[in-house]
Formats: sequence, C-alpha cells, structure tokens
Amino acid sequence: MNYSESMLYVVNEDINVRGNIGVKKKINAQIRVFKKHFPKCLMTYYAYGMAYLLEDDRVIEKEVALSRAECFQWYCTWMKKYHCRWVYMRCMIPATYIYISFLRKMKEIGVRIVLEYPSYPYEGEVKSEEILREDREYRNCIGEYVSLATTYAKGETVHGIRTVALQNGVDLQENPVRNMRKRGKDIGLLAVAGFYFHHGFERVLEGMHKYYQNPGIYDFHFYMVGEGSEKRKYVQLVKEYGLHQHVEFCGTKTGAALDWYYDNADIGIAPLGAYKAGVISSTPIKTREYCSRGLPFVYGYEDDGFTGKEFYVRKVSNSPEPVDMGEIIGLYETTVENREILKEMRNYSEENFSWDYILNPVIKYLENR
Amino acid sequence: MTETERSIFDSHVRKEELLQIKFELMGQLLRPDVVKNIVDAHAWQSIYIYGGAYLGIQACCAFRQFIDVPCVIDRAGELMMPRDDIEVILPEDLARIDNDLPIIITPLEHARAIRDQLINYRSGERIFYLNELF
Repeated sequence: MNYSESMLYVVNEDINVRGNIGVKKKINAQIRVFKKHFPKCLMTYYAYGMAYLLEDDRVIEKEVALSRAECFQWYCTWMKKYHCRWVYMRCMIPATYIYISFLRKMKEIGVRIVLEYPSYPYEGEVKSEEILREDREYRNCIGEYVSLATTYAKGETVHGIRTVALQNGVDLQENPVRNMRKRGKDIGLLAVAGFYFHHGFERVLEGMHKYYQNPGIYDFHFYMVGEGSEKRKYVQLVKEYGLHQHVEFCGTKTGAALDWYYDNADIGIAPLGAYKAGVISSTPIKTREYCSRGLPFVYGYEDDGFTGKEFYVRKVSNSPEPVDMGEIIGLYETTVENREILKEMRNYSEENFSWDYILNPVIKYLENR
Repeated sequence: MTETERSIFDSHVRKEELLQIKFELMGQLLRPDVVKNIVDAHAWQSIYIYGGAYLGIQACCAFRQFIDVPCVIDRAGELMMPRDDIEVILPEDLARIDNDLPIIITPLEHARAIRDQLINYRSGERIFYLNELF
C-alpha cells in the first residue's frame, strides 16, 4: 500500500464523549474531503492514556501513552511509519511547552502543519486564568512551526500565523431535508446542542415564561436535544417557570431518532448566548445543520453565513434579554407549509456550507506546496 | 530553566497526568452503564483482572456487577487492600489454568511489560488495557 504524502488529522480531544458528537461529525466530514485529494487521510486521537491511529474509522495502531508527551511521541512515530507529509490539527489550548516541542519535532521530520482554531478569539471562552497564563506564555512560538492556520473568524493572522478564514460547514449526507409539518396551533421548537453556557437557551425559556403569563393562540413545545453542563440550569428554570408541559429534555439523539425531532419541529433555536463569551461574530455548525435540513431558525449574533434578512431566519439581540416569542410566531407564520423554503435552504447549504466548498482554499494551499 | 530543572518539571507533569488518567478511570468504573456497555460490546461472560492495586480492585468490583471475575492476577500474589471475596493468583498460575478468559491489565505504568509477559499465556486479542475499554 502506498502511503506517500498522506495526510494525518490530529485531534487533541476525546471525540467519543457525548459532548463532542458535533465535533466528531465535523471531523469526519472534513476527512471525507481530504480523502478526495490525498492518497490517504489517517486520524489520531488521545483518550484515557491511549493514543489511537485510525484509517476509515478503524483503529490501525494503538499505544499506551500516559502523558501528552508520550502521546506526541507516538504520533511522530506513526507520521514516519505512514509517510505523512501533511498534518491538519485542531489546536490545543493551552499551548504548552510539550505542545510546542511536538510542533518543533514535526517540523524537523519534514511535516507541514495546518492548525485549525475552531474558536478564535478564545480567551472569553476559557474560564481558568491559569490556562490562559500558560497559553499566553507559549502561543507566540507556534508560528515558527506552523505554515497555515484556519479559523472561523475574520482576520489575517492568528498568533502570527497566516490564516485562511473558514466557515463552519455541514455534512449534507448526515443532514437530510426534514419532512414539513402541517399548519397548526402548536409550534415545535428544536435545539440540538451540547448545552454549553454560550448556547444561552435560557433566553427561550424566559421568553416562554413571559408568553404564558398572557398567552396567545399558539402553544409551544420546545424539544431540547442533547446533554451538557447547562442542562441542570435549564431543568431548574423549567421547574421554576412551570413549563413542564411545554419543554421536553430528549437526551442525545443521532440518526433516525434525531430525524424524528427535525420532522416534528417548525423552528430551530441556534446559539443565543454568544455575548457571554464576548463573541460578536461566529459561524456555528448548528445554523448550517438547520439550514441544510430546511428548518427556519432563530439566532443571536453576527453569522457570516447569513445576513439575518433571509425570510427563513430571525436574528435576535446578542444579549441576555428573553426571546420575544412574537418573533418566533412571526417566523412560523411566514414559513409554515411553505415547501419552497426546504428547497431554498438546501440549495443555499449546498452552495455555501458543503465541506468541499469550504475547505477548497486549504486544499489549494496544500496542493501548491 | 536549566536542563535539570526542565527534567524535574517534566517528571512532575507526567505524574500529574498519570494521576488524572487514573482518577478518570476510577470515575468511569463507578458508572454501571459504561461498564455494562463494555461487557456487552465484547460479549464477555467471565474475565480476569490483572493488578491488585486500587484500580484493579475497583475494576474487579465494577465488572462483578455484570459478569464473573474468578480472581485477580497479581505479581505479588496479594491485594493492596485485603478482601476475602477476591481470590488472587500469580501470573505463572495461568500456565496451568485451562481456559482462554480475557485479561484486563490495570497497572498503567507497567502495562506494556505486563502485556509482554501475559502473551506467553494468552493470545494478544484476549489481553486488554483497562484504559482502552473506554
């Protein structure tokens, strides 16, 4: 088997934990694109003191690695063994001395590195001052070893590294168009997420609380699909506001089970808490997934993929204000039973959010080196 | 930082990372759903645990909720914390035991060396590191 000029995708987190389902999907979609352009695209990840090397989702090497340093040594060994000339790596935060040594080692063995910053700037998302202090100490060395960075934010450089601005994409295979519901008096809301603090779904719960103090003709049913650190807070709010009849915690769902929720929803709820992380502009996967499924949605930040004027979206404030349920009703009334939006949103996704399209600048860069 | 200081620092970092891994494994073993998934995924009915330290004892107790763990294998022939309900055998005893039960290695620091020793008594596919099960 010829592994000449293979690509290695390095993941610095455990992609099998529940909270990383979205990340895993994204990585698999990116790998599918890289495979079209490189003879091989292998993937490594590290979990519970084991380093793994995978090809086509199958473990081909595994080694006990009881520290990051040992893990990185195995990665380098595999890079040599499988002739990996290119590495596409999700960044590690904090940048540490060991991480910088790993980057240096890769450069020494002739590997070119493209580093992805899934979130940038990230300081607002890191709660530990200790982590930030270590990161600030080492991150400016990264540019010595990395030839290109990719981010989902606008900007020419990240830590001095030349940068290609990407948008988050969507795996169209994994996100089929939903079946549209008929018009009714109940509006199905859907949030599919890892329930992190920046999702800000409490704004919808607070909006519903306000709405039900003086209810209109519509009833809401909010499906909250996922698990995460904020769930406890949401459960508490539902209890406090007496919304049991209107909110359902569905747990993590994938495949056909997840499709069912899309088929029973009218409006998607995208992140509403970007302000908490000090983020103004973002390109979360979630809006792309809603769009590719043909589900109109509400979001609360500047999204590079949408102007906010599309008739199938509503942009609300990037603030802690409760969501005005009237906005959601307005969106429902303009989109319900409008089958054209399914086609329009899907086409828009294919043209703007497919990973083939999004990774094109990276592929071009790599092919010219 | 001098080379010596760096080496001491690195050594502390490694120890801290190892403790974190052990702590996380201890936690995972407290989750019956996780342990059951492992048992179901491998279709195990009976296994041996290698290692009589805390992690080995905890693994033994965790797996016994679902399947038979006839004994713990330990080089010293004893548990770190004596228990009447857990029999302990030496690795060499495997030579005279006529079965092919899977063995789960729990002492992470010596995992590779233990595997190399156990390979004399079992095929590689029947030997697992505890940390690869999660």
